[in-house]
Amino acid sequence: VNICTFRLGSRLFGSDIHLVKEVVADARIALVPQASPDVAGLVNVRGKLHLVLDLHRMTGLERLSSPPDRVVLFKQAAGESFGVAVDTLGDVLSLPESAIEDRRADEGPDSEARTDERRRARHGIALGVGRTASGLVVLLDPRGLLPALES
Amino acid sequence: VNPGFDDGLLQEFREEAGEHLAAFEGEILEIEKQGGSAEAWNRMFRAAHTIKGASGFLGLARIGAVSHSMETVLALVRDGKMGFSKIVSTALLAGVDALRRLLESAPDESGTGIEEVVARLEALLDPPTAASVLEEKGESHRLGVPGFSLSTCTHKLRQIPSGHRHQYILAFRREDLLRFQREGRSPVALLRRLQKMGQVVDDHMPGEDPLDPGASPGASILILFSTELEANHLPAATGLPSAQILELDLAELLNEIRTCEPGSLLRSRGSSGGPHHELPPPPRPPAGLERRRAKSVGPPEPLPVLVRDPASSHLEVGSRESTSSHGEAAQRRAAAKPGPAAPPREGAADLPPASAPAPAASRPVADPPQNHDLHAAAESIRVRVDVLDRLMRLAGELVLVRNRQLGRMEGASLADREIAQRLDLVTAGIQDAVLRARMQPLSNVLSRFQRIVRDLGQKLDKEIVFATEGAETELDRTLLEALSDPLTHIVRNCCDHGIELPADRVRAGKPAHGTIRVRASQEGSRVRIRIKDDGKGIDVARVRCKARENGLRCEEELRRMTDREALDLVFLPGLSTAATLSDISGRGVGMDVVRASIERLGGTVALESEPGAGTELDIHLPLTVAIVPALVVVADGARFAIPQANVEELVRLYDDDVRKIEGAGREDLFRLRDHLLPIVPLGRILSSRSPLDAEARGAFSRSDRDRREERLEALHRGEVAGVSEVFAVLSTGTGRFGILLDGILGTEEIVVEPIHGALAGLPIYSGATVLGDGEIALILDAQGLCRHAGFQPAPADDPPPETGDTARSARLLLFRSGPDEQLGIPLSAIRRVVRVDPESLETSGEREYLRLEGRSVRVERLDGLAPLSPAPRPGSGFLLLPSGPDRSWGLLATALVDSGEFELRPEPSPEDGPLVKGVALVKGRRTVLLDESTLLPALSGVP
Repeated sequence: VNICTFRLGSRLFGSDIHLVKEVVADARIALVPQASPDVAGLVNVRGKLHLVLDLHRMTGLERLSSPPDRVVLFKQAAGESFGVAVDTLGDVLSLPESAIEDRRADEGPDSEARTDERRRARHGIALGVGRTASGLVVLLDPRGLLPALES
Repeated sequence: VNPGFDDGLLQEFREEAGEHLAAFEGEILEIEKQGGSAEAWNRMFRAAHTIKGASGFLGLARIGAVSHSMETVLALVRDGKMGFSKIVSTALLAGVDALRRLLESAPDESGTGIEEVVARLEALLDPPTAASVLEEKGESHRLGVPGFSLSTCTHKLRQIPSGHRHQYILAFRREDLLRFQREGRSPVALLRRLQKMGQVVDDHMPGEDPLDPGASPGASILILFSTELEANHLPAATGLPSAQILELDLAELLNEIRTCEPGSLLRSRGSSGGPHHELPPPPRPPAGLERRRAKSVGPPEPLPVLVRDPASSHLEVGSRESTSSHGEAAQRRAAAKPGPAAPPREGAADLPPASAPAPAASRPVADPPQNHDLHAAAESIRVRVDVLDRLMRLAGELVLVRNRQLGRMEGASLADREIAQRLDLVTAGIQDAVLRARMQPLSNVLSRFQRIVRDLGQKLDKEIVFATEGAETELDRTLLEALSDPLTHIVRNCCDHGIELPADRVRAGKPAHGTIRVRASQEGSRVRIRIKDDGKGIDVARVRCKARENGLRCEEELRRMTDREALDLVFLPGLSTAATLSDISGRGVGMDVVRASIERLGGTVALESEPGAGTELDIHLPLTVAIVPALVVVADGARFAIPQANVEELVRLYDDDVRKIEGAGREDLFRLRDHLLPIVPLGRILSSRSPLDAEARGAFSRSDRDRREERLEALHRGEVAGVSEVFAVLSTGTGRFGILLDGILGTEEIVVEPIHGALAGLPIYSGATVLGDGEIALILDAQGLCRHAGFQPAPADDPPPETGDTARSARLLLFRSGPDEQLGIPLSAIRRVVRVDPESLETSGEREYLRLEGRSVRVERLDGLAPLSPAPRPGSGFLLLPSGPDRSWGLLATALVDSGEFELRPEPSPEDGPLVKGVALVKGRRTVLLDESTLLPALSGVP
C-alpha cells in the first residue's frame, strides 16, 4: 500500500495515496466563525473552495507555534471536498499489508500511544497503524473524519 | 443493464425519458379536459415508443414491458378501436408513474406495483379486437430473408406514416456498435439519429445481445426502419455497409395481403425452421405468404446473413389475424396512394417501391413523426446540465478575473484601461448569456400541478380547475428546482384546505368548481408568483386562537396585532404541525418550511386571505442566485459578503453622533428616521455559537457604549483625529435590523459557491465566495443573522415603540390648514401634492370634491377631526394625496411651508388625540405632529 504521509507535531500520519487528491502548500485558511471547533476553515484552490479540518484538535495533538499552512485534500464528490491542515509533508511510503495493524487489534505496550489511539478510535478516524523503519504511522480514514466533527 | 455501457448513457436515457413522460402526462390531462386529436395520440404513442425502444437498447426489461403495454393501448385508442375514458387515462397515468419509479431506480428497475400497472393496462385490451394487435397473441409477421428477418406485428406496420416510402431492415452488428462508440456515438444517440431521419418501427435481437461484452462480433440487433430516404443514402445516414441494409416493399406487401384471399394462396409452413431458428417461434404456426419482397441495396457484400438470391427472400405473415384487419391496414395504405390500389406486382425485387407521396389530408395521422421534434431541434439543442454548470462556474471565474483586473487599473495607461473596459463589457455579456442559458420557464414546474390538482380533486371529491398565467416566465434552473417543493406544498394546501366541497361552494353562492390560479410575471430583476384560490380563506380568529392555545403568542400580543399580522402567524413553525392545523380553516401545514425555503432562495412570501373569498400567496424571487452583487464588509478581521438585495442602506456616524446608537436600557437601538432599528455588532453575532438573547445584547450594548465613550473622550482630549461607527441596515423582507461593522470594502459581483455540507447547519451563511483578490469571503444570510442575533426585527411598515422624549429626526412635510397652526406630517404618508383648481371643485351637501384625472377626490379638513383652527371654505391651496391604496380623498392644505428632515423633540400637547401625537419646535415654530398611522385609516374610513 502506498501511503502519503504528513506530520502533525512529531506524530506521523498517513493516508492511502489513492484517497488523496492533492496537497496544497502555502494555503491561506479563511476562518469560519460559528463552525465546529474541529473546522479550521475554508481554503481556495484555483477558485474552488474546500473545507479544512483541524486535525490537531481532532486528534488532541498540540500545535506547532506557527499555524499550519499545508493542506492535504482528499478525493470527494464535488462540493463536498475537504482536507486536513498539517504541519509538514512526509514522503510517500510503501508499506506491505502485513505491516499495517488494525487499530482495534493494537495492544501495544506504549501506554501514551495507546491513549492517543483510544482517542482516535473514539473518533473513528484511524484505520490502523503502520510500522515503518522510522516509527509508527497512523493511517487516517478520510470517510471517518466528517462524521467525527464535534458539533 | 447491458454491461459495457456507462452510467452516462443511462443518465441520458433517464433525462430524455423523463421529458417524454412529462409531455405525455400533459397530453393526457389536456385530452381529459378537451378531447384529443389524432396527432396528440400519435405524439403520446411516439413518446411511449421511444422509451420502449431505448429501454430495449439498454436492456431495461421492466421499463420496456410497461411502455409496451402503454404503446399498445395508445395504438388502439388512436386507431379508434378503443374508446377513451377516464379509466383509460387513469391507467395510462399509472403507467407514467410506474415508468418514473422504474427510471429512478434504473438500472435496478425496482419499483412496487409495476405488475399491477401492466395488468391494468392489459385489462383494457381485453375486448377481442384488441387481441389482434398483440404480438404475444400470435399475429406477428416476419419480415426479411432467412437469417436477416425480424418479426413484428400488424399494428406496428400500420404506424408507418405514408410519407415514408421506404422501409428497411438495418442490421447493426456488435462490431458496428463498438465502432460507433469509438467514434463517440452511443446507441442512444444512434437511435435518436434514426428517429430524426425516420421512424424505428421495431427492433429485434435474434440471438446474442450485441452489447454484451462476451458476444461474438457478428451478434446483431435488427431494426425495422421507415423513412423517406432513398436506399442509396442509407449507408451514409446509418453508418452501415450497404450489405447490412435490406429494403422491404411494405406497401406492396400489405396491399398484397388485402387482395389475396388468405388461406388459398397462403401455404402453410412450419413455425420457423431453417436459418432463423434462433427467433422465438410464434405461438401458433403461422401460414406463410412467400413472395419476393425483399431486396438488397447496393453491391453484394460477403455478409452471410444477407441472401441476395431473390428467390429465397420471403415474408411470413401470421395467419390468426382476421382478414378484415389486414384489409383495413391495406386499405389505409392504399388510400395513402393517389389512385386505386396497385395490383400486386411480380418480381418486385428489382423494382423500386412505387408508392407516391400521399396527400397529407388523406391520412391525418400520417405526419412525419418527428415533425415536432425536428422543429424544436432547429431552435434549441440539448445541453448537459453539468456542462452548463461548468460554463456557469467558468463565467463566474471570469468575473473574478475581471474584478481583479479592474482593481489594478489605478494609474494604468489609457490603452490598458481600454482593454480592461472591453474585458468588463465582454465579461458582463458572457455572464448575461450564461445566466440566460440557465433560465427555464416556470411551466416546467407548473405543468406537474395539473396532475397533482386533478388527482387531489378526485381524492377529495372536489372540482378544482388549475389555471396559469405567465407560465413562460423564466427563472434560473437552480431556483426553479428549489421552488418545486414549496410550490407543490402551497398548491396541495389550496386543494386540501382552501377549496371547499362543491356543495358547500354552491351554498356559498360560488361556482361548484374551485379555481387555483398561478400568475407569474417578471418585475425588474425579480420574479413574482402569485398563487390564489377562491376557497374559503383563512379564519384569522381561529389562527389567533391557535396561536394562544399553542403558547406561541400571549393574549396581550395577539390583542395588539392587526389581522394582517395575525395571518402571518401561519408561517410560525408551531402553528404548522398537521395535528394542530387539521381543524384550522386555512393552510399552514409546513408553511414555515415554505417560507424558509423561499427565503433561502433570497425571496419573500406574503399571505393575504379574505374569509369566504379565498387566499393568495405572493412570492417574490430573484431571477438568478448564482452571481449576485454584494457588499463586502470587514468584521473581526475577516471579510464577509452581504447580498445587496438585503442591504437597505449604510449609515456612518461621526464623532459625537456615535452616541445616537442608544442603549435603550437593554440593547442598542438607533432611531433611523421614524423607526427604531435594533443594532448589534456583526462580530458579536459571529463570535457567539449560540443565538443571542436580549440579555447578551444588553451586555454588548453596555460594553460597546463604554468603549465608544472612551474613544469620544480621547477625541475630545485631541488624542484621536476622529471617531466613527458604520452599520448596515439589513432587510429580511419582514423586518429590518442593523449590524455594526468594522469596515466596508465596497461592492463586488460575487459568485455564490455552496458551502460545504459540514457547515450547512450554520444558518448565518448562505454560501461562500472568492473575492477579486483571491481571498475567501463567507456570504452572510440576512435572515439567519437576524435569527442568530435574536431579533424580532421591527416590521418595516410599523410605527416604532416610543421611547420617551429623546430627540429624533423625521422627514416631514410642513403645511398649514387653518390660519393658526403649523402642521407636520411624515413625508412617507403623502403620495402626491396637487394644487386645488377652483374650477374643478364641486360641492355635494357638506362635502367638497375635487375632480382629478377623471375621478372625484374627497376634500378632507383636519379641523373636523382634531381641535384645530378651521380651514377655509371653499377649499383652496393644495390637496395632499395620501400614500396607500385609498385614492378617494385628499387632505386640504392652504399653504405648504417646507419639507425635509427635521430634528424633533416631541412633547405632549392639548391638541393630542387619536390623530395628533404631540408638538415639537420645527424651524423655530410650534408644529402639531400628525400621526399617519391613525390619520390615514381614520380618513379612509369616513363614508
